[in-house]
Amino acid sequence: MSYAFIMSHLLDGLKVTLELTAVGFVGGFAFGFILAVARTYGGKVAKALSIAYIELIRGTPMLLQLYIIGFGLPLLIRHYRPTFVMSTFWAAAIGMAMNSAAYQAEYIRGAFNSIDYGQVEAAMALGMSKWQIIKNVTFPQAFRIMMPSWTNEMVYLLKYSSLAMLLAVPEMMYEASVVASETFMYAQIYLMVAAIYLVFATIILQLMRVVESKVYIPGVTTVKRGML
Amino acid sequence: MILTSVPWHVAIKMLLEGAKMTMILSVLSILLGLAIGLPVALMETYGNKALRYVAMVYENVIRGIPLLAIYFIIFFSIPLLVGIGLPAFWAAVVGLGIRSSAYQSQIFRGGIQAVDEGQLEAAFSLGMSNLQVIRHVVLPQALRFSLPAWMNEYIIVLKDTSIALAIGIVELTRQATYLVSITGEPFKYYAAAAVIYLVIVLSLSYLASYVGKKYGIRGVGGANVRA
Amino acid sequence: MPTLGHEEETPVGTGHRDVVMRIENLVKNFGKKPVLRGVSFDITRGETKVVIGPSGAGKSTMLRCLNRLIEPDGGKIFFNGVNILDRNVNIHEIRSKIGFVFQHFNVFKHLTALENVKIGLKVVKGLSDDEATEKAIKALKMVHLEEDAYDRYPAELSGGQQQRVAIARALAMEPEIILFDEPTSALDPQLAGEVLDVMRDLAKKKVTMLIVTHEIGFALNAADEVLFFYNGVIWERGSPNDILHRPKREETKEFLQRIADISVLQEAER
Repeated sequence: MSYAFIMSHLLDGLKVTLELTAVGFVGGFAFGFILAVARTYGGKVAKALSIAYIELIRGTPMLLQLYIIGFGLPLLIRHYRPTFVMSTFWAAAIGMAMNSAAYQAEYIRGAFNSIDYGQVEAAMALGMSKWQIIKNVTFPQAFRIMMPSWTNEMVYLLKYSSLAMLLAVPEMMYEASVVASETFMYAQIYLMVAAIYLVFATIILQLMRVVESKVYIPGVTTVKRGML
Repeated sequence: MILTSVPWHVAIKMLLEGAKMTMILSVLSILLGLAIGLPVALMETYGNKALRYVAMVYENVIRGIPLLAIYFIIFFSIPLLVGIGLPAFWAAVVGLGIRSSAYQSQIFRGGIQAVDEGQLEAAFSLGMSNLQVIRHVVLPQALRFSLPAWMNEYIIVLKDTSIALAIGIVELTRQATYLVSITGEPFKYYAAAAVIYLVIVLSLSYLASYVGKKYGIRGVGGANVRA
Repeated sequence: MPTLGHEEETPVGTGHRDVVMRIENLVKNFGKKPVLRGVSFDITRGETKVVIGPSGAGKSTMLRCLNRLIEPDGGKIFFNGVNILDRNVNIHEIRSKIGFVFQHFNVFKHLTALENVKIGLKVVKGLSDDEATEKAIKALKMVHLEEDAYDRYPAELSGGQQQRVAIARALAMEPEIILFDEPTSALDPQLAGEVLDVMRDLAKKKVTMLIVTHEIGFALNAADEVLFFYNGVIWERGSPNDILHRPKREETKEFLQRIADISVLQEAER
């Protein structure tokens, strides 16, 4: 069997892999931001719910979460609506986003907390309003501090998107196993797939390195908390 | 619609058996990761240029590949290339162990570098050899410093044992999904599995932060915070 | 500006003195612990007033009440005739007229020195970029910051330079008064000297200042009045010479004796 045939399948899968990663990351950031705000500024209920959610997600495997959303949830809905069918892609993407959100919420919170309160005091002393302070002082610094954890998260999601294979999502790992079982070229195919993941992980790392260097400000860097 | 009904004591037994496999797999994997990761860390800190390069490449390659791919390579690719294969259980241990070793080597490297250089100078001044300094001065402290991040890594390994179901290992997540698929009742079994994971992970987390307060140094270990 | 319409609110009742700020009976408790027990004094325009006293006695707290970074529990603070503790007051506008220099500088880490000085002008006062730059450069010149430092980030500046940027940031807003919270305590003696020189300069130029400090030498030659803060109130007050060389009360004497050695050493190092 030709390598061209194999590659074309893998590249089809790669497209889905990248889509899963992107949706997972962006959705995770959006939901994570809400969780972070709920936890920092929310009332008792919002705060408790946010913490409970984060601990629940962080305390269980992502695969279990994907199964719950991709397998358990449709079953549950079919109790009421027997003809319900869920898109496996969106089940996986939503599962990944919900997982990522729990971690991104903590990265966001950590970044905002790491900015020393003195600068906020100084901004207040100048007469800035709360929103002016966030826009001009806290956000520009928090966003730079968060960048390394974004890189970490993107690479993580790229790798763990492979779990979607178990929900029959036609991403790269799934395509690889399909082609492997058709061609029996298990040895080469899985090594090729691993290489493609490695290449893209490296691309993400290098791209983010460039972005980080462009927005670099001396003195405004990673929180010293062992963030990747 | 319930497909088959499973008596609760059977279900619990199955889930607990899955949990047992999860625990065994995680312990063996983390230990394998330690056995590989610590030497790699030492290689990377004290080795010559060639050794350092090899260690770096090892770390970066392993960390750039999904665990699922590692499993498939070990379970499918390698037997075809080399002629002999590992049974699924050991393939799972080796796969997760190798993956963990790449992160553990980072953790230990951080711990080693946290040992203050002045101590090394003092040890050499006493006349100790390289090996003696590493054994008597560096490692005792480095391992202490690495402990919290290492426990964190164990939690990650524990959760990732779930991925071994892809090569047929009967661990907790697989049991939960199996029970759901034969009974058609999602809520019970997934919830039970989640509770079991939570209990284990949360108690380990508290243990880790307690240990962290006693022994750790903030920022040491370059740990994978994605726990 | 909103007025309250009752007789206590005319602060210029002290003859023809132009009083910028009048503090009446300021009270603040932290939980059960009383920190400010009724602080009262006023500050005339052009005056340099120095507050000394034991650490942890509440001087920082008092200063932070004056621009409501901390909300006092009782008393009144009149700023240009208006009680700024009143709910209806636009606190952001008031703060833009009161400068504050912090012990730990609190310069904005993500902005260059010049940008640090400009940001208040642009964001709070709404000046255009050019107007802001002009005023910022004037302020930076007043604190004698080296020109090649204008485009550097705080991480690239010494502590003394950072604090001078912080002073310029306050000056550029053209405030009616500048509050200083132990501005040199976080600096080593040499860098502290640079900052004290700038402050002496401002005092000569008749900038209205209220300074909390341990620098007795500075108080002696730059202050118009010295207040000894002790036990939550102004314990004793007078001209620098009176307070520092002829203190009347026991506690003042004790305090001065204790820090005399330190300050003599620091003066010698400069």
